[in-house]
Amino acid sequence: MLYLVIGSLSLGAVLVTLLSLSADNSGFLAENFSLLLGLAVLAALALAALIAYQAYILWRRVRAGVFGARLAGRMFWIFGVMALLPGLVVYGVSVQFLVKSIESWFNVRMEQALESGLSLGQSILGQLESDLVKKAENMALLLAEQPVALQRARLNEFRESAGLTEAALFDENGRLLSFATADKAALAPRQPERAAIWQARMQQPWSRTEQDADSHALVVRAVVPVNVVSLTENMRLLAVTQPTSAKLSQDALSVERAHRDYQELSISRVGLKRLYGVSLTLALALSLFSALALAFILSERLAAPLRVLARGTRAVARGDFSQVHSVDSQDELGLLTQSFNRMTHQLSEARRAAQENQDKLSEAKAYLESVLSSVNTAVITLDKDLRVRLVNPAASAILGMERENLTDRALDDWGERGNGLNDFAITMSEHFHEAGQQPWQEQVEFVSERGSRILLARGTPLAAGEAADFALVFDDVTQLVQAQRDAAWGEVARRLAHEIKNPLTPIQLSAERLQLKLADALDTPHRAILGRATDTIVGQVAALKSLVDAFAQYARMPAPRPRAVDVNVLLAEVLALYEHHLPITADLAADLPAVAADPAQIRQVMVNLIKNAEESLAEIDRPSILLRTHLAANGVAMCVEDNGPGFPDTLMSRLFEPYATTKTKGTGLGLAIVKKIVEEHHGSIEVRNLTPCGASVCITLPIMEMTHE
Amino acid sequence: MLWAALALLAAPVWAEDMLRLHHAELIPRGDQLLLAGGYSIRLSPTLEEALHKGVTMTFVQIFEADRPRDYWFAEDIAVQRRALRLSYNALLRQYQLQHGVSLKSLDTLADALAALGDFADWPVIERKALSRKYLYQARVRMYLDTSQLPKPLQLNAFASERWEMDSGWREWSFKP
Repeated sequence: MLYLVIGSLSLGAVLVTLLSLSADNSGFLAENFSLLLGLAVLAALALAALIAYQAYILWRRVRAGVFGARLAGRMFWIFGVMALLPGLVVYGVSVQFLVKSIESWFNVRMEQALESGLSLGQSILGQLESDLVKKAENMALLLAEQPVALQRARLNEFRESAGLTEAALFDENGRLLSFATADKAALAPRQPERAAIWQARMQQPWSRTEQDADSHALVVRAVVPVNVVSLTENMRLLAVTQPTSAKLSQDALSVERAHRDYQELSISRVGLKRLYGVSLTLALALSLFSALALAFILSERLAAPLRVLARGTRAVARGDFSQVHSVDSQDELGLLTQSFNRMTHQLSEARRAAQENQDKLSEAKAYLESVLSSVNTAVITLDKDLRVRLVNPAASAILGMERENLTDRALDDWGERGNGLNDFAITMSEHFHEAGQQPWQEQVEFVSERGSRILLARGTPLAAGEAADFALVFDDVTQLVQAQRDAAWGEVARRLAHEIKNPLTPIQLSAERLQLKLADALDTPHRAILGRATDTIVGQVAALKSLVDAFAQYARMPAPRPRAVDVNVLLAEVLALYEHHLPITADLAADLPAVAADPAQIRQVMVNLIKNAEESLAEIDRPSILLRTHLAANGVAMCVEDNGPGFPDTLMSRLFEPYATTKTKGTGLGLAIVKKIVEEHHGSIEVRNLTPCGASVCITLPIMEMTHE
Repeated sequence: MLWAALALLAAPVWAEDMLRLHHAELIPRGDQLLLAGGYSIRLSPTLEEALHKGVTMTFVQIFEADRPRDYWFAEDIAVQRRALRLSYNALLRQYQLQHGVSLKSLDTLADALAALGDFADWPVIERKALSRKYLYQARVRMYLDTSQLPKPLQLNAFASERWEMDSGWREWSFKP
């Protein structure tokens, strides 16, 4: 575009220059004047079209709301006005000046002077003509006096005496008779014009001033009749020629030329005005149009950095900091662009830092979450109004609720009124209210459908402050408490075994010695009393011994040595012991996988369970025991079911504690030992009452993993 | 032996008045064919005034001859062109007609215009360029060459039809 404008500008300048030069009316330019004029008009039209196109582009940009287009349009307009006003002023002044100066060329005095000069020349020439006519007439008289024959001979003589350059004699029809000239190289003279011959025939002298074709000098010619006296001869014509002096000729011609030029100018003054006017107008149009076209380009140039900046701003708004704009100018716009780039750079840095922080934060959060979800301790965070914010998976597992049902609710709203979860939540909330900003710790019982659990709960404010959040942390310590209880019982058993067993043998021996020594010394009734008493002592000591042994066994249970055991085979062995004196049936599932177990201990478990069942069936009419095995979710289940009275509800929670028994006989250690063995096998045990009557005890042992073989 | 037929074709109306071909004839003389005849010329008042004010007017006479061919462009035989410059000398009160180097002085405008329009036995064709077998086309044209006018007057002429003088082409056929 720029080159187009510069090109048309220079073309226009050249054209206008040529046009003004061509007004000088000379040479090549003058001949192609119309072409030049046409080209200039064409260039102006092309420029106008270019401007129209630019204006259209600008208009479309403004309509489309392109940033910077309005500014460009305004600058376009301002530049245009700035070019137009001075241009018009200069144009107006020039046209006025032109018209005035052209008019001033023409004035009456000048014209009169030229006319006078011309008529002066004419009168001088007339004078010369009449002189020549006189000379010619004199010569004609002289010639007429001569005889015809001599006329030719005397012609040159007369010419010389009259001082004429050339003299010629013609007959009345214009045929050349004789010729005399001062110029040796002269050609034969021209025949006189028809008008001259006619005039001479009428006895009128004819004279004329002519311009010589070769030298352009002025030559005076005259033709006069030569009358002949004799009747036999026709009249003759004498033509004489006399050049004017070089100076006169030159002056007269220059006057004529000046007059001619003046006249020419005077009739072409309209044309001149038009010529200069057209040139000026074209010059104005070209310069104006070029200025406008340049204005467009300049305004585009000025607006371009703004547009770039706008684009950059939009990009930044979109979050794209990658747009870096080259700075190629040192002016304010360049500085602006530079600072914009700097700002973009800083923004990008800041955003990257923020991003890094955020990444770190989310990393930390993820880390925290993974920690929280991997610990077995339940963690719950609450805001100051005891609204639940965060529940970790362990908490949801302990409480037996989905996390979604726990979070974003007030602590009091957990569960339904009256159930274990709600009780637990209300207890917790009360503790928080009571403790305020102090940490607290409490062991509570949490009752759910899956049984009762003992939870060790701790409440801590998360941070000091007016509106502090709280953290509620609790552990399922059921197992721990159980283990403590078990350990305590083990210790008791061991002590008892040790402390009780020691005096038992002396007691028994002493009793037997008493009977042996005193039996013979006593009379029969007393001997009977002694015998019964010593029997009782020995019997009770034996019972005490077996009790103590049982306790010792419970306390000194050896660690299991598990190996792959086929449960069905093991149960078949156990069944073989009872099947003849007990109403026992088996329902064994086929294709059970092997379990990891110590067969001796498991056998003891089964014996204990069957024994329990058998004892519970003592007062039942049609006792029956069912031995079942099946594949459970977490291993192989072995169940012993009976149709006895079942476990009383009061005992359910403490079934596995030593000395918890319903029976009059027995140590109460059976289920405790069973539980201990099963736990050491990483198995589980489940006790429930059957409907309408009976009890079921199921132990589940983990399946032997193949890698352990 | 040789005849020339004058066939005037329809001419533009504006030229009819000012430049009218009254006669055109090819006359054999020696080795050449001469063009005889001429134009009757009248000058518009504008032009007459310009002439009397000293403006030199250049008229151009063009003669062309060719042989039409049935299936191809016509064969050019001759293209002749001559410029005649007419001016008025206010000092001598004469009209001057310049053709090449020859300068003719004439006393009256009528004489001058007659001399201007006259073909004056213009040798236009070499006879050996012609063959008796064919029929030839000849045409003449005469016009005022405004590009030879002084520049300001050209602008006048540019804008005005009063300066327009053009006979248009007149064509006739001839057989040598």
